[in-house]
Amino acid sequence: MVSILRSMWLMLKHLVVRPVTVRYPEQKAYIPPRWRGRIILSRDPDGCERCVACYLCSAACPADCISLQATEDEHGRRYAEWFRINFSRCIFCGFCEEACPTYAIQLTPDFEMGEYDRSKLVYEKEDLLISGQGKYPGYNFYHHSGVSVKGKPRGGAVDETHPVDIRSLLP
Amino acid sequence: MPTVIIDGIEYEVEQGRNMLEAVLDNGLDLPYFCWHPAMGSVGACRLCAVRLYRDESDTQGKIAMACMTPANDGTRISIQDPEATEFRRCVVEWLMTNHPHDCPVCDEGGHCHLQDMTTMCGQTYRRFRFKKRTYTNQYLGPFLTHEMNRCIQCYRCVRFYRDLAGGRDFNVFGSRNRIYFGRQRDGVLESEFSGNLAEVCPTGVFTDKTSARHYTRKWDLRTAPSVCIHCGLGCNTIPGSRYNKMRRIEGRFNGDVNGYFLCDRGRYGYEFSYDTIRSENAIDDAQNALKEAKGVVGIGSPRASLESNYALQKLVGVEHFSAGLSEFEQEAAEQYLSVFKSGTAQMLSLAEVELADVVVVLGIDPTGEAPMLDFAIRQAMRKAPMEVARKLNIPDWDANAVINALNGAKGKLYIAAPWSIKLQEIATEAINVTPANVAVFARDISRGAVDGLASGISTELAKAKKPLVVTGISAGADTILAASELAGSIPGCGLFVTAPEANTLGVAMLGGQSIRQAVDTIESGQADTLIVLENDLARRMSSPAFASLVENVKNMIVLDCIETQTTRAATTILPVATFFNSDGAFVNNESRAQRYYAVDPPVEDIPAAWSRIRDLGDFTWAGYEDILRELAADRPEFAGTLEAAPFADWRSTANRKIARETHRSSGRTSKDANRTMREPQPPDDAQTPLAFSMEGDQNPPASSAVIPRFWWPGWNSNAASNKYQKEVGAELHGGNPGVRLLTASGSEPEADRDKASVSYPQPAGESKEIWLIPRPYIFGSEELSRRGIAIGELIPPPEAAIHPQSAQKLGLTDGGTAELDFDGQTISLPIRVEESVAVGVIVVPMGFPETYGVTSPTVARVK
Amino acid sequence: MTPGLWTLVIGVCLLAGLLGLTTGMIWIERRLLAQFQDRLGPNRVGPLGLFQPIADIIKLFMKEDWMPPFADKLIFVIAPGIIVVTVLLAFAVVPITPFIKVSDANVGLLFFLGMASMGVYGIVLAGWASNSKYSLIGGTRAAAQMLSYELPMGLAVVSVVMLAGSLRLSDIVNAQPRLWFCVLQPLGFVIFTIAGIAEARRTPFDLPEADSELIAGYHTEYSSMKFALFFMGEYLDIILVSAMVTVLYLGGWHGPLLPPALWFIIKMFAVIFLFVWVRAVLPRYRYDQLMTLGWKILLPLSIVNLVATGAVMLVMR
Repeated sequence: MVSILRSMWLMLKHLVVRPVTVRYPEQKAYIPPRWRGRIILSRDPDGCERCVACYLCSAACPADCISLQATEDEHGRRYAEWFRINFSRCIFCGFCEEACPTYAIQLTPDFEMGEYDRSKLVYEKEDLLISGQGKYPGYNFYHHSGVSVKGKPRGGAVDETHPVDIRSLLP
Repeated sequence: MPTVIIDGIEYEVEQGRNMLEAVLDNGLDLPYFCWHPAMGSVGACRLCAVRLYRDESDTQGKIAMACMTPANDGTRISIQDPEATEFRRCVVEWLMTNHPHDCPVCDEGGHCHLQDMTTMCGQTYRRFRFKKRTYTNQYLGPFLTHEMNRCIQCYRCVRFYRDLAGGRDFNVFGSRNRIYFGRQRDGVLESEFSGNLAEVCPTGVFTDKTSARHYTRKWDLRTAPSVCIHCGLGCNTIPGSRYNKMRRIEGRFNGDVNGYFLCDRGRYGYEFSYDTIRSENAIDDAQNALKEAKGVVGIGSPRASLESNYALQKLVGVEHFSAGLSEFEQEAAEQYLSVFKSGTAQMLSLAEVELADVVVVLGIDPTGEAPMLDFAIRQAMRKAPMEVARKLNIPDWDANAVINALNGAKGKLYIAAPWSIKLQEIATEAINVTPANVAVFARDISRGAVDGLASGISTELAKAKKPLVVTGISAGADTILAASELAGSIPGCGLFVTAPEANTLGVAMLGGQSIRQAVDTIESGQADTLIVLENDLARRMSSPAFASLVENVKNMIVLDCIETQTTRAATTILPVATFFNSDGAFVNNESRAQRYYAVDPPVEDIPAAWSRIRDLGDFTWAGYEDILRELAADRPEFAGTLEAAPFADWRSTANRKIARETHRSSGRTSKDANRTMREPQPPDDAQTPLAFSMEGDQNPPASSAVIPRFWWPGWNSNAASNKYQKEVGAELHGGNPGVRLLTASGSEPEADRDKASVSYPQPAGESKEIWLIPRPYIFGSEELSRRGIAIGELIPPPEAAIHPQSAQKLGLTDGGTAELDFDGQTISLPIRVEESVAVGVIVVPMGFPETYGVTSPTVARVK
Repeated sequence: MTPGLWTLVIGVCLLAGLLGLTTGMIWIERRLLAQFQDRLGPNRVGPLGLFQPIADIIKLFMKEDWMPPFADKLIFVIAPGIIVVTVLLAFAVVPITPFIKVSDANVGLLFFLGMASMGVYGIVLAGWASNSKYSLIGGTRAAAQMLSYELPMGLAVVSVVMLAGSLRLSDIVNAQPRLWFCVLQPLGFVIFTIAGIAEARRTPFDLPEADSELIAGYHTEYSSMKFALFFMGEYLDIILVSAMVTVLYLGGWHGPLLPPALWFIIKMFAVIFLFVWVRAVLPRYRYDQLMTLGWKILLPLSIVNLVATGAVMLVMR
């Protein structure tokens, strides 16, 4: 009983507290860099697409709103033939970014993507791909992976020896 | 049965197993790499370490490899022992020191045995800070990608390729940590079973190159239980598709047919489905044509399902139905059926072929016609002298010890064929004779020739524990009869007869005229309309006969999924769903009825063939099962077709269907978003107990005929099949799928010698005449698979092979051109003179566009 | 102007005023709640967001008026009407000033209690006719809740009637020109207010609609204007209970300086403020707590209050 009255008194005091509301859009709120907003696909330091179309983001997506098709270029580099995110379904949970082994898919501090037509919320690869590296500069998956691609021969990755000579008889 | 104690609990195991098998048989998990149910143990990877105790009083024990420990009565091990667990984790950690950071770009990812085992061992973080060893890769042909960096040196690939598949162009090279698995130099792998390396390899050293063009992870694949359409053996497959497009085929374990493996034609032939016929819906035209017809003849097809053929038979009537086999095949198939029913010889399944110790191959080329038979014969030859090892107390599973004990000993294999078939490399004796002489040779053996090869074979067969005679419909009626006599004359001798196409035996059992008779009906004016079901008539009759048929027929209605010469000549084309978009039943060469299920719903409203035929007549079938039911009621011998798989109304104990998609299947709300925001409902499948979506049971089936994929928690690779088997490597839970339709009734086989002699027109004494024999090639001779991209690369150049002696006689030279006249048509091919063909024959590739019209051994005139 | 015509004019004005006030309640409640929670509330539509209710109403009008195929059609349509009509009827006996009143019935208080009880029919029927489990549970809860809280409410007002000596509401107001009954009847005042909140199905007594457990209780299946009628019913209930508290315990129109009508409105709004305030503070009761409060606390207390009032009156006489 007393506690109820105390609570009522506490709440009454809030009538004269200054509201915390930010009057968006006249007033812009501070969005931290790790905000989970619009999803982008980034590029590696060499300007190539980071996405290797491994399907982990689409598997991790709880809303099943990511679909893609993998393909290979003539040098064996994997990339997405097409990549589609249906933002009308996306819940911006960031699981795709967590799942991504190449830092390709990233969530950005942009949330102003309202549309009057739902179909405009379907972003294809050309809508998603940016020209920069996003939040994780300097990482190039193919410099750590064992496969060879254009510009990185066999054994040319970080922490790799030259290909062995299998015909050598040295101990 | 021995009782073993695992972690203090007693389990019963079969006699003669090792402890790894004992563990897996009882549904427990123990990681392993180098052991494979079909290949046995070598103890190379050290991953299945357990603590082995001497007896009850032994508390110390010692670390031992489960796969090298026999499961004797009272064997006591601990899997959960902390030291053993840590040992296994360390082994994985060592293996992973050089394993590249590749999983995202590796095609094995998601169904990788190494991933599963690493997780199972609890190894989660790489501590090794030093440089990784790397290799250069090799080009291994259009089927496999080679990525040696990923290798963990389990030796499975080389053991499969050399010991099981009998390949010789692949080996292990180098020393210490430079061990390399590959070829001496870049090049296409020679073995017809190379595709299995992708499944055998526990990680991503060998991966499917065809699927890499449009790669999809296993968890995203929509899969269904299916049967291979590319030959008559009926191997079980799991085709996988994504976005309604075929991506990959993997083997589906069936202990009675193909076991774990597939041939490359079966594995890579799926690419034909990319090149299907697109045409206007002309069902009204077809119906009008049928209304105005003076008489309708229907030609079925051995590559169409049983129910489509039966539907056509109902539509046109039995008397106007042709099974769609050439005269030669029809005759041979009928002979085979009568031999089968007579019970003269024991008809073996493909799995039973592997148990034979003396094999006689008569008149066929298993490698080109039914490749998995080649594989089965190789297994038979490998396992035949196993007694030697058993006498030395070496268990069958101890693979390396067995190989050393046998010291190259093999079973006895005898071959009589018109050309040197590939199996000849492991044959005891082989002769190249004309097709007619194959039968003569067989009779020589059975009648006990006094001397020579025939008598030697006769003696060996009599001594054998499990003798076997192998022939095929393509060898002709007379050879089949002779082979059955031979098998019948030896007690306990088995007979195995191949069929050229997936449903040859099914249509032969349905009965009907040969194509020739059907064509005669048209040409005599009794009928003016022809319905052709998924059959390219140009492949089954000579070119002039085909041209005359096209000329004489008023309306030719063709149902097919691919463009052929017949569809080009058709007046009305009714496109039908491909094999991967329809459900049905096939009857394989040993009369095993097996059901296959659509992977994807029909595209663009192109229905299955049976429903097209239903619309042409006034039938009321709601689904293909109705046709099968009607067939079974009409023809009791087909009753087994109904038992072969559960009906469409089957539901699991949770009252659910079986899901074709995995529970992890992704992109549901996005894959169609470029077309529509409405997220279309997954198409309903009223025809089968499977659902096209992920809704339904994932790990069900009590019925082994409807296993859509092998997957088990913690087992994402195909090794999950362990969990679906009663004992690892043996029968599936619920029995191996398929029901054999025919049983021996004990009646005498119809031995119509006059008829048999018709099969082989003898070359007249004239010097310019020679046997013209079509030779089936694994790549190129089969109608559907040759349309595939990868297989297309390996189709050999069309050449006519001839023995030097015959070449000289006919005045032909190597590299020249042979113009061959037969049945009123002429073909011309470059000549290859070689000793590997019989004298008096000229061998041309079967089913190549250049050799259309060569449907059976025939007599040709060299111009 | 004849008395009949005067009554008609008052009636129509009252009706219009009430409906306007109901719409205003949307804004009042949302702004007040926001203020309690350090927010701004609706501030975009019109000055200070004053047109927000209009936007809401337009939206409600535009919504598809969906009739569940499984519903009992006739009752489904009638139910929301019952709620609004009974509450509006109850207003007929509320005297705002000596002149501004529709009916000065001599059984005014009884009529109010009767109409308040009738209202529950609307809810129970809505729950039943929706033919949906959430709706039915909501309806059942409402019935039980009304039953449990009408008793203490009735007993509490009996004391007021004893003090005023009349069931006529204007008599009751006139009985407290200086000393309001809330001073004489503090316990009765509290009991009546709590029971009034429960009558209006307001937090913490909003179990019949309990969004978090019953979706929306008895109006789960309702949409568009039918749904709006339920909301109007609820807001009208708040206004009615506030008006009755004003009449019974806060001296109605009596007050110094300001005109009587203004005094009435000030007092009434104070009680409405109390309603919103309580909502901002208290979470919803659990069902057993609701029943315990009704039967084990309020009912005995109201009886004690009745007996005490009687005893004091006896002694005073």
